[in-house]
Amino acid sequence: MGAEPLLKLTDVKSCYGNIQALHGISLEVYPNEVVCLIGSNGAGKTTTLMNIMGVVRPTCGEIVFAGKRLNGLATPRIVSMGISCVPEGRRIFPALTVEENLQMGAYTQRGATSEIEETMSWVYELFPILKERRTQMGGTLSGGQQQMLAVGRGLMARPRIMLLDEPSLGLAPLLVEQVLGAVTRIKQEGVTVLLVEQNALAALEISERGYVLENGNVVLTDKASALIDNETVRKSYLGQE
Amino acid sequence: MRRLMMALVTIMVIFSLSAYGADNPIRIGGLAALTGGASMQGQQAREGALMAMEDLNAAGGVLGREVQVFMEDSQGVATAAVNAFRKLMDDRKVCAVIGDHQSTAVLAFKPIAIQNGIPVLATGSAMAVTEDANPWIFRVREYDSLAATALVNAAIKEGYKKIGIFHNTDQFGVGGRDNVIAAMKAVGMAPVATAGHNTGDKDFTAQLLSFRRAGADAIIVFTHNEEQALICRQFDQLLPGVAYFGSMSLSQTSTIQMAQGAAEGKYSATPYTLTNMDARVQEFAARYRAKYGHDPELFSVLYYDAVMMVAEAVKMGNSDAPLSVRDNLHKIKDFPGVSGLNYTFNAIGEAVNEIFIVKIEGGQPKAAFKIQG
Amino acid sequence: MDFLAEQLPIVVQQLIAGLAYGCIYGLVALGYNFIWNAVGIVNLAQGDFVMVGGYLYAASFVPVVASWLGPGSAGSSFWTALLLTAVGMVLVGMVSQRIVYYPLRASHPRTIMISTMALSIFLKNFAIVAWGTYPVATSGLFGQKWFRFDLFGLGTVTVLYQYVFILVFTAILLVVQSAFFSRTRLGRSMRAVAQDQLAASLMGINTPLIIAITFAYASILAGVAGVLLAPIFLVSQAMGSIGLKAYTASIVGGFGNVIGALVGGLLVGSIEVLSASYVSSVYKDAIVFVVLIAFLLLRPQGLFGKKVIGSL
Repeated sequence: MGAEPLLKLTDVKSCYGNIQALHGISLEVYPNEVVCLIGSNGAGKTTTLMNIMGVVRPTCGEIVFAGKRLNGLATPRIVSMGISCVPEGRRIFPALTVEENLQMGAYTQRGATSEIEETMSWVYELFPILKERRTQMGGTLSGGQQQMLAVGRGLMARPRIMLLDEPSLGLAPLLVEQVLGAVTRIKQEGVTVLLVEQNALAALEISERGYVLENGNVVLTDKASALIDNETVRKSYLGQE
Repeated sequence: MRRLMMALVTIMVIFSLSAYGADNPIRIGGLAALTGGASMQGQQAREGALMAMEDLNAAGGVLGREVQVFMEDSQGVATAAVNAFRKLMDDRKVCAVIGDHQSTAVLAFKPIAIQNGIPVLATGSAMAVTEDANPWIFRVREYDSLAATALVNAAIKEGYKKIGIFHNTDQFGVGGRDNVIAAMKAVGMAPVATAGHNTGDKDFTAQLLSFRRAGADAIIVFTHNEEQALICRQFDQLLPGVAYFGSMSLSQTSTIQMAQGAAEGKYSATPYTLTNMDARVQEFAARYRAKYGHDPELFSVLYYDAVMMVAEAVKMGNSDAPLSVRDNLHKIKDFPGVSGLNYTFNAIGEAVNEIFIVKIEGGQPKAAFKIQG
Repeated sequence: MDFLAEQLPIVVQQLIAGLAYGCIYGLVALGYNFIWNAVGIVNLAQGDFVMVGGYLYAASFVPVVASWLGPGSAGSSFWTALLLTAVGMVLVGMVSQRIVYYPLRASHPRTIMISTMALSIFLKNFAIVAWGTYPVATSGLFGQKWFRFDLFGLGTVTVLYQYVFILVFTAILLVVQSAFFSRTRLGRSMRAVAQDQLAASLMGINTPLIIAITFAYASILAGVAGVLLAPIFLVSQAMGSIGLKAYTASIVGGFGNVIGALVGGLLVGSIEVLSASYVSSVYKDAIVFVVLIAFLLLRPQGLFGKKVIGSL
């Protein structure tokens, strides 16, 4: 664990309309960690990610990335600083080809085409099926392939940290393994990951640390291995007695 | 709150003072489509009416009082015309209303005018405007059957025997068609084909080809400026060698310009033409051009003349009471207008009883001959 | 058989005109679709953009450009004025969306549509103030020139050069457009924003800017339609009514569908012209709107659409 956190949220509060969704979230992600946020539906996991991305503005608190305050910055600016987000429900562009989807991921990469192509061949290496389907429209892919495309698209931005929102949602167990396995490989490439999952066990198994969210509050944080053994967590989130 | 009320009352008092001030102007209303599809004619009307007002005031007003002309927008829509008429009558307290140039509008507010006793000098050409001979309703324009008869006579005079009718499907066009058919029937003829089009149509190929199939050697076209210009443009290609007699709109400079040369050699009927060498016509046209930068058109001179006639009636009766204005309008004899016409209202209120057949040559409507009604 | 032979040249002649009008409807319909896809609203001022384009071209730029370039420069005048009109339409589209769409972007689409209706009324009245009430005639590249050709000895077909020009110009424009959308970064971003705004902004795309550009592009298309029509029609406020025909084209083709817009446009143009000839010249507009209503009732997704759209 490095001395300085890469991403640090301090007492972040946020509202959707009149409803307060976050009641003061504080969390830290250190370089080259995989950290997961677990919690039930409506606990504020996705809202936390949307606050980091600048899609939703925090009403108070501070979000700092690599020493820079993110509060008030526009999403494109945040993306170009090295944060990419794989949104819940994949949200790939259905009427763009697989390759075009990946190109969109590299939107903020103003560098040479060769660099983008290099990243793309890395993504293709990670998910060979995408290479096979590269001229196909995104919308024609199966659910698992779409999730791989979403992850691959997120990687195209060459992020320092990647926010993954429910990547296993709606996938068959075999595909869950495949997608989450990719997370480990992403980490090996030096990308930090903040993972949001309802599938708590699978998430904790690949994470170093975890935060448990309930009603917009962080109720528990510990090493992933410790959380798996924690009684409350086992009862509430792992479905084990 | 009290201060606000005081301020409001003061403002209202100032407004009412300016409206009913000591100088007590003579108020004349004008209605024209200042916006909407017919706004081109409406703006000509406005320019003519306002120029009459300035001329009257420059000559010291009427009965020593200032003349005010209020132009309201009828939008070429019946309901809007009724509202505009009520505004002139109730708010502006005018002694007479000039217009509207669309008969549909006139017919909509005519009952209100009669009921409330406001003289109307209409500039729409439908027969229905004056057919009930109401003393409050006058017309300062040619009526449709006059134009229709003139065009039929002109076509016959030029030796055409197989005449087709192309008309707008609005009240003006349908009335025109019926009048043309009646005028032909009077000389024992019938149209070889008739076809209609809507205001706003742009492509007339289908209808023009139907005249070709019917073997027409001349067509009479009753419609408004924009359609008239577009029909002229398409006509030359599709019906070469066929003669063209257009309703009044074809005689207007603006239509001839829009037709981009396609109006050449075509005939039209109008009570007013700039090629009339009458000194009144030429002198007015010169002043109008100097003021507005373009030629006067029919509605410019008709609205000008109508304002002048209302002023004359006020002078004659030494009063701007609507009833007095009405009665004195009926007494006007041979009033010389800048249109080149001399106006006398007949029993049903018609003032224009002669019309020119013009032929467009070199972009100008040249008077060919005059037809009396 | 004789009847057919006699009618054929007339039908061909009418169809060429109908397809040319159809191209125009298609261009305007594309504008509807791009805005619909990007922000989910029907821009009710789209037809008035045609009118503004026509006026900018015929009343503002043609006279100015012609006086720069001097006489005998009809060709270069046309292209220069066309280009200037396109630039003008970019401004019109950008400014319109900033006032009419952007402040209301979080509101219900119906609210935004009312605001585009206000824009439509404003533009009509603005045209009176800016360009007066006289319809403007302009000659374009070919003026009123026609050509005749013989159709298999059955008869002569008379066609305006401008009709052919419209067909060719639209075809070229569509090829360029398709290359733009697939080959350029901006084109791809416009497609991405139309498909998923949130995902697009998570890619780092400045979505408000792309939406503004989409409005600008839709108004360029409308402006070009105005320029192409100006020599055939007269430019007047009434030109805005073309919006309703184009809207019909959108519905017939399938709202939001690019190919649908064109096919719908060509269909509406042909139906209009042929029904004028063979059904009723007076009711040809009514016939087009019967088609519109029939599609709304029986096949609201149009010919090519998949999504059924709710309340429009």
